[in-house]
Amino acid sequence: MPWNSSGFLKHYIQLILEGKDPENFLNFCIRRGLCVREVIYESDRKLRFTVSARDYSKIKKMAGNRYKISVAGQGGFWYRSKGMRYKKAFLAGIIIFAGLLYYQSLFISEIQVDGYESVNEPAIRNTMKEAGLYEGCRKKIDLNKVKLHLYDEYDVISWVGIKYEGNLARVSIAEGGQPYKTEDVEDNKPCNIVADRDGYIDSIIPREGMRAVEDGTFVKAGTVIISGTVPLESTAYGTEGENVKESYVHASGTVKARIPVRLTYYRTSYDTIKTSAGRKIWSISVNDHDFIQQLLPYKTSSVKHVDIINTVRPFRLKLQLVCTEKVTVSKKKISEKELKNQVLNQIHEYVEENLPEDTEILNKSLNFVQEKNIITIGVTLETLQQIGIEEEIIIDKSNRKSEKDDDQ
Amino acid sequence: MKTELMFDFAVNMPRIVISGELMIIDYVKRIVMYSPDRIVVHNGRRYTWVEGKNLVIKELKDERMLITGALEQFGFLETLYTADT
Repeated sequence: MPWNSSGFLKHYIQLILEGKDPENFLNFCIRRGLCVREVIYESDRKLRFTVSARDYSKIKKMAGNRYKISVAGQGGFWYRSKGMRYKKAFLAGIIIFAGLLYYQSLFISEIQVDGYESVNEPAIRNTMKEAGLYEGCRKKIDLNKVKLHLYDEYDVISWVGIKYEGNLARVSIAEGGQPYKTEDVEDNKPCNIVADRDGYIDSIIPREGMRAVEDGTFVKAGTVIISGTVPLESTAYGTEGENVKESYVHASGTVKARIPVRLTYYRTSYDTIKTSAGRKIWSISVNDHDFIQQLLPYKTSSVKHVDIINTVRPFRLKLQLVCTEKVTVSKKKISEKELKNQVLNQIHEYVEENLPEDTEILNKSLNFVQEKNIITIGVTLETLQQIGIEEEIIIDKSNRKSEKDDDQ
Repeated sequence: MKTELMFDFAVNMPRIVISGELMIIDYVKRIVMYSPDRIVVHNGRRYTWVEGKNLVIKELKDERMLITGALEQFGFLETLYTADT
């Protein structure tokens, strides 16, 4: 088979021919149909040329005793790849590099979050981390679980999209609208004051408009508390205005309501106290795998981690120093006073984080129920909060016109 | 048409294709002389010579020779004797 002109793959040999009349040797090659390449004249008695490795034996035979043939070099992909089997370290290096490249592609190295408005990005990232999506995690996680966790945590989020682009996770968020308008109505337009939450009316101080409910009434969200529709006794007798029975105003005022807030906390009746026994084992954890932990001789221990390396590029590597300390565990019964203090602290945190600033706590009641080892604490808070938002009155002019025509 | 076919089947006559620094000579029966300045080949009925600088035989296969280098002149010489193949 003739030597293909694309000699990248084929094994070729570069030869030096020495002897009298080297052109005659080329003539032998022509007669026998051998392919010769890159014939370079070096002197009257020396030629350099390249032949296929398959033809080398024929060339050697043809040269016989008349010419001296020496090999100057060899090449070709297959020839070089055969030589690779002796370069084990090089091959191992290539395999390790390919393995690292593949390993790195299994992890998420960056997360981008777009579309958030009222929720801040660190909070979203923390929430996603709780669900298992964080920089450095495996790509093989349940994205639906992450989305559901975000929906549960933030009511304002109406849509979440998570897409992988290589090692980048792009999180797109769309926030939904508020159930009730929070923007104030323009001053020159008539409006009612309606409740934005459920509660028992404590006091209503209308500045404009008429109160629509009595103190102590239970109102639901959306109920009109101060009405902007004011009855009118017209004194314009004999004119068009005689039949006007009501007028509209921009209602305003202060409305306070008692709103109960119910919370539930769970506690164990015993506190676990760990006392150090004085023995420690130091180890290193690689990507959260601590082999020493699996062979741990201690029944009870306390573990501390110190980050040494924590990177996701060029590949995921988390190296930690781990200190496992032997501890003895004892139980201490929690007194009612301690329990109450803990719960009160939590209530205080809840009020600061979730209720408006001007909220007053009127009453607080704690109910403890113990079942086996678990204490359920039911908390009822009676809060006094301002409720009431402006809601525009839409006047149906066509009806008013028709009423006037009927009267006439 | 007849003339074209004559060219294809004239195996004892030189056929040359020149392009820039590349020259292809077909029906090379024998190399008479080879040096970096001059190459002379025998095509059967005629001799073909090429002169230039740094002439290299790029490929020699199936009576076809590829020559590269700074080509300056080429020509043909008649033979007095019959082709020596």
